[in-house]
Amino acid sequence: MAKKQFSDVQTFITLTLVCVGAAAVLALVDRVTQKPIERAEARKKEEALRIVLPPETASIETRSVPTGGGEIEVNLALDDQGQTIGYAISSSTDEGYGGDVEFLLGLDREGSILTYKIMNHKETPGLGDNLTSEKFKSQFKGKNLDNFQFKVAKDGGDVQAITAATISSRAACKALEKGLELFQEYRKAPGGQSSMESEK
Amino acid sequence: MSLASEFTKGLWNRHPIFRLLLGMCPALAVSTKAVNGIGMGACVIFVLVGSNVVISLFRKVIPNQVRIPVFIVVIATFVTVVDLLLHGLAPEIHKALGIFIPLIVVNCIILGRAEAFAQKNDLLMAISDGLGMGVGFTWGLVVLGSIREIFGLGTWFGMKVIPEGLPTVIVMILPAGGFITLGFLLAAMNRIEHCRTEQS
Amino acid sequence: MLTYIILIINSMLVANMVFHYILGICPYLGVSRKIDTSLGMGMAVIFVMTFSSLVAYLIQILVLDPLGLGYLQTISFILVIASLVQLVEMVLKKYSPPLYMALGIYLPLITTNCAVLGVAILNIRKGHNILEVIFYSVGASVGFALALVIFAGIRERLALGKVPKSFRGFPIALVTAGILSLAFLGFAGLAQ
Repeated sequence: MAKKQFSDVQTFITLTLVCVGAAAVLALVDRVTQKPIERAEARKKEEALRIVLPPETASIETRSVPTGGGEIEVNLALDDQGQTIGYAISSSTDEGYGGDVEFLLGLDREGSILTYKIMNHKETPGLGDNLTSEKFKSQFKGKNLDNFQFKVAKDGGDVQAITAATISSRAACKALEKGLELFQEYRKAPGGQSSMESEK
Repeated sequence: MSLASEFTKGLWNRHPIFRLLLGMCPALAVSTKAVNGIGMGACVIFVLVGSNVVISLFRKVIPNQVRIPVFIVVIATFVTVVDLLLHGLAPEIHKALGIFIPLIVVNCIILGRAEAFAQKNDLLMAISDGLGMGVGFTWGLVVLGSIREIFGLGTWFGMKVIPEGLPTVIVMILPAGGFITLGFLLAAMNRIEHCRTEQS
Repeated sequence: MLTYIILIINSMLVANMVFHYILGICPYLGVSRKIDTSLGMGMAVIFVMTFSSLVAYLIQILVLDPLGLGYLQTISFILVIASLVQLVEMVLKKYSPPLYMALGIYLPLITTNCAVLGVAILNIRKGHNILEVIFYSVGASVGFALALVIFAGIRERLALGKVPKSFRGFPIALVTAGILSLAFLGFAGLAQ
């Protein structure tokens, strides 16, 4: 099948049409999928919050306070009387074995760790991704900056690292400690809520 | 050259991964779990059939000198569409496949079929070819993923198949495991082919 | 300065494009039969990867982000790469015909080298600034070239040895790549 010979002008026009057509199709699909994408992201956050916050949570409020670099956002868990029974705060580290690891920490009324959910990670399946296991998580229950050293035992701390996944374990320590520190900053800042005040 | 034979060639004789040695990056990277194979396979089928259709439909008006850029733009458009759709409708798979979704655009299978087949054949043939190659790619991925998941994690499609207590070979999940598994699979395929040709 | 050195060590060795991210396998297996073609291909990749990542980054922050055209990332990036490869082809054809002949079909194959597109996208996903883009891409491409040349050295030896019939060619190459990947795991933690 012999190909028609095209003039340069026809070639240019065809190329332009193809590019414009492609861009138009994509703009349309982007438009159509924007809502579902936003909804999926929101649902993910909501589900995560439900997991890390206390089970008695009736509603969730979001507060943010300004800090030196930007702002700190904290989610407050309220029971059906409107009392604050817990908090959630995000923290992340880029020192994971595979790169960034994002945590959502669930804190109790006093600011000690209840549990956490890893929102994003690229750790090795079977090794570093044991950061998500209940076994690793459970050692942090009730711990805060005052009663716990957030370093692996190898570095002189209290954390039981995951076997053969020291780098991932260290990253988790960093992120959890940072999350607790951010929470302290939130509490100290004007507008940050102390556990004694109830929701206004 | 019948419609059926165009479809079946992609399943074994001209298997994209095992015979044509194309599309190995995603094959190796994504095949850490069997279920990822289905996800990636579905995406590739969508892009492959889609671009084959468009290129076959317009084959008479695409100037030869710029055919590669045109193919690339068409393929990239379908890839972006699948990326957006997945993000909004199946965020879990979208996260699991990660950077390899946009990388479908440089999957040599797709450009290869566009160049070698779609631009020279009519619509139905092009669809058949795309489907065959896509399904072949998918089953190849699932086999690769299954082997690595079963030996590396002890599960298959998430269900535990190796009893607790028996060791698993974590290396299977790492890149090295991918390389070695594929190498052995290719050797096995070669062996089968040698036996078949010696018999005839 | 130190952060940049760490960045390069990271992208070259610790998170090597071939052995860690599994990118660039097609040309990796296709070109690595001989050391000198590997060197030539490696150089070409270093050039294309670094410049395309740079241009891609500029397009992302100057055009795509401000105009909310993020969905055009894949198309625009691959077009940048394809154009750069055309450029390299034309330059090589004119100034170094023997290298051009030696690389043959492998040159246009850089366009479909998933490592090149991959690194361009990775730079954006990791939120690098322009300097970090340059250092990361140089490290990544040198790492790729390194992987290529080491592999070619091994394969040249392998070709002389006794390999079981079913394994000849790609199967044994893949197994070798797997062993190399394990070896590179030794670099883990180097950048910390």
